Amino acid sequence: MSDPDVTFEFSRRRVLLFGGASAALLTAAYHGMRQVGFYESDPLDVEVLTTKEIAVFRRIGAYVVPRNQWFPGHGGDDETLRRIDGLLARLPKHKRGLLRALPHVFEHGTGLDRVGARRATALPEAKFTAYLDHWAEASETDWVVRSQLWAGLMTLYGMTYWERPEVLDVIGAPILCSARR
Amino acid sequence: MSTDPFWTQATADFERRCQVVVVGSGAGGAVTAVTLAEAGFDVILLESGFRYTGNEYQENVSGGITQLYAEGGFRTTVGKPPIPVAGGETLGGSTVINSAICFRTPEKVLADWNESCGGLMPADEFYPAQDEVEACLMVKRTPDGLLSGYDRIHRESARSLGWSEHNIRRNTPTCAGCGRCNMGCNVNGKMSVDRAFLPRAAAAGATILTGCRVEAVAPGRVEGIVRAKDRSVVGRFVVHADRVVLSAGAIGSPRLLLDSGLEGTSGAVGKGLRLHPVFSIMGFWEDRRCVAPGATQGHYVDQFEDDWIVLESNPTLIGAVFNFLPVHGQEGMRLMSKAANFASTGAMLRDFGEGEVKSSRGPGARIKYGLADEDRQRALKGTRIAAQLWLEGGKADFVVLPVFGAPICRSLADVDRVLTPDLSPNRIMGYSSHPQASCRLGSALDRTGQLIGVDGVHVIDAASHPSNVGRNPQITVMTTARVLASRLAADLGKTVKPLWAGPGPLPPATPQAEPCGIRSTARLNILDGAGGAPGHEPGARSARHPGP
Repeated sequence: MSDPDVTFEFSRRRVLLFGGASAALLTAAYHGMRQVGFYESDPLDVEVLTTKEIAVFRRIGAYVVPRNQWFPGHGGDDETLRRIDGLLARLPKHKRGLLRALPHVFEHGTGLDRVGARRATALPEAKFTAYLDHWAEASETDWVVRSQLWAGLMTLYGMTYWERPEVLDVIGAPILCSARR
Repeated sequence: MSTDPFWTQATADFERRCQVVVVGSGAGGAVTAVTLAEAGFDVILLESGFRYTGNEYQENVSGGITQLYAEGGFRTTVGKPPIPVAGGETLGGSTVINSAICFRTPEKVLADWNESCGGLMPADEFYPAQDEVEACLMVKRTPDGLLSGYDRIHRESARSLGWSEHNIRRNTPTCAGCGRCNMGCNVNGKMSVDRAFLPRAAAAGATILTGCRVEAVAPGRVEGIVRAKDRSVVGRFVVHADRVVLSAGAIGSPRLLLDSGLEGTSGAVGKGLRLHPVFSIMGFWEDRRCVAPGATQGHYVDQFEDDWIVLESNPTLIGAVFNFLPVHGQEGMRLMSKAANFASTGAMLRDFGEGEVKSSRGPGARIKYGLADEDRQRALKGTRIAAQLWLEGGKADFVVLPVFGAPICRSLADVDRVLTPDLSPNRIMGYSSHPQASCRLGSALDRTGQLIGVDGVHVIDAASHPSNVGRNPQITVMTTARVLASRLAADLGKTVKPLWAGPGPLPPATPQAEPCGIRSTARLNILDGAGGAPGHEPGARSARHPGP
């Protein structure tokens, strides 16, 4: 069955519009495909963090507080993750939501660096390191949001890994005295 | 309801009536409550936070901050640069989590105030009230024996440069030198208002309720929610009162007014906010440990007070060292292994730029504040002075500047390469613990702190300041509260009783240091140097106003 009133006019304008829209759609789809992925379930017992958030915090933590000869553990180990989870759980909901957005921003911020980039945790080590170094060097720009996001991320590790009693023991810094001791 | 002698934790719906309801139990609210209750008013005081003591306080910074600070310690401004704004949300407010620093209000500040508010704070009314406040808080200069390792290197560095410096006066008559004032004192060493004034207010008949978050204010009435310690909502409340006094701080009070649609006729509610921004500069010594127990903050430099810049010795938090350190990887870890070799000083500004507290549109405060250009220039100057303190005075190996992405600086020439006159405010990292002047006397408020154009609603706290103090403000906030509450009582036909009525400590009791399980014997030895009978320091009073 055909409708005699419907006609197609392949004007140059229409072709360009259609082509442009298709290209944009394909780019967005490609970009999106590169950013999605599965995260292996983590056996860590947590209250608020999702599997994805754990994966991102683990990868970043191991970079900003790497294994080293001085301190026990590292920024991506179970104890640090449990402490991050505990800190987030104690925050008021609206602040918790903001801080929980951080791993998502860093995971998908690769897309701001280059269209079609893979999500951060899927990057090979060298590219991942270069990516985070770029965040840490955001100081050279005046983009306040970027530097604040990085500072927020560092605060989370500062208030978790660097509060572990065994870490403070290495430094010789006092734990806050407590009547519980 | 669980109770102790002076406070009650609300646990369910309630509706009550009283003559005066005070919202907030910090420096402003506690002094207002004790002044009005002892004058014979029927007072209810509502605190949104909770009461903690002794072993309920946390052993680490993250635990303490989420327990005791407003918005879990993550309250911040919007502007260039964003600035975290600390404030207490616990019974006793910020006096529970401050470093117990007590500065008298500088006379030139009071003169400034009177110029801008039409003489509403005359010195002959203000300073006698301040003398009383200081007597009640047992303010005393930090003895040398109680200076921490950070304080000592701060003092040594300042002296080697010949700068004017002093030990800080504090309201810690039985300080044990734990250095944990900012997470709540668990040895009862600090005379915060939950010890100095709230028990007295209760003894005079005031009802003090915790867990009561006020959400709406109207003339004659406040209402809100009752929360349990886990932040779950367990009820609602309404309090009817002839007078409503907001003492929720320079962020909380204007926010409550604006959220309730109570702006009065001045158009000045929320405007004029000052923050006293602080910029921390860390020095590092490869071969010198700076950590040693003592006062949380015991030393300051006032050499540059003509520029309204004060340097105060800071406790060095290990997490903060990590945050600021611009070195990552294995070299970063090596420096962190020597984190005890860092000392920090805070350059605090009396800022002249103004911010604004806006209606919140949600659960968090909306604070708009940008560093004014004049303040930015002085922030750079303060940072350079602090770098000079460590590099030239203390012979530090390097300093870490509060400038995002700045490299480690080993000389003042390195520092000058970072602190260029055109350095963007976005890169400067500061923080604030002293928001003030967001609901100012003479602009938004009349002589009793009553909102202009709204009968029966008052603001009595740091928000009422006509501008900022330029020093840690708890003594000034309490003095302002005492003056305004006394005027309110007198206007309503009541006689105000003296806040301090004679020699010796005031009721409820002489504070006693309690065992806290401190592991270091060095700390216990400090008590010998700090000891002696608790008491105020008469020499600190002004000659013109010798006090009662």
